[in-house]
Amino acid sequence: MIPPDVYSELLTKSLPELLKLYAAGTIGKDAIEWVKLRIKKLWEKKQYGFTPEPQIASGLQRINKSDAYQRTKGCIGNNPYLNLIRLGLRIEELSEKGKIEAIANMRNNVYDKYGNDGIKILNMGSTGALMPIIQHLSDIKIKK
Amino acid sequence: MVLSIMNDIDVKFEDIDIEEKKALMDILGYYIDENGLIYNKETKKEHICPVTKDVVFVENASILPGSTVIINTTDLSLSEYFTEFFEKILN
Repeated sequence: MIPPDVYSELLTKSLPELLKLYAAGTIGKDAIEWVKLRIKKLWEKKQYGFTPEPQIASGLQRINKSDAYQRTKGCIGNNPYLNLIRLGLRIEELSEKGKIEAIANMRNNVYDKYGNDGIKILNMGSTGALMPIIQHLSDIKIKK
Repeated sequence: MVLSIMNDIDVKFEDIDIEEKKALMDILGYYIDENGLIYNKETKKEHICPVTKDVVFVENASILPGSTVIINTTDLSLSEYFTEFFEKILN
């Protein structure tokens, strides 16, 4: 049985806070079981993602919502190259901030999987050519 | 409709320490061996990253929403996650 005051406090805790409590193992057996179920329930709400690179994930999420990405997706549909378009748009952002090392790592990973075709798409992002192309494709689609 | 849903949903991405990551994986049905390799509790087999198709070590693991997706972490694999899983969970 969980004391009412402990229960009320646990109810206010976020998923990361509950994980910290669960991992520490400093609460009673009943409370641990309740916390475990609560973690499962909160996880199923899909409000959190845990990653060693939260800035990258948040940046990609932001790009996903951007007008440029949504317009591209509207033009080319669900295409495997959307991965690279998203990264191209990220490179465009990183270029403006002078993040040369991050861009080099990304290019290496893309080359390993997609070869020169992938690099060409990334280059469009890094040179700022991607946006006019997206604009052009979008305009063509609107006219049609 | 889909676009408006996508613009409304925001996943909070956070880094947590290894012990917390292990705790979450334990709850979700995974365990970690002494080398940091992730296994599925049910099958007792190494967990394979659905994006990179490689085994996953806890230190480099991202645990992401979408009926639990555990992947190796790079810019590219995260981008692929967004295409393969994230956009689908929003539909």
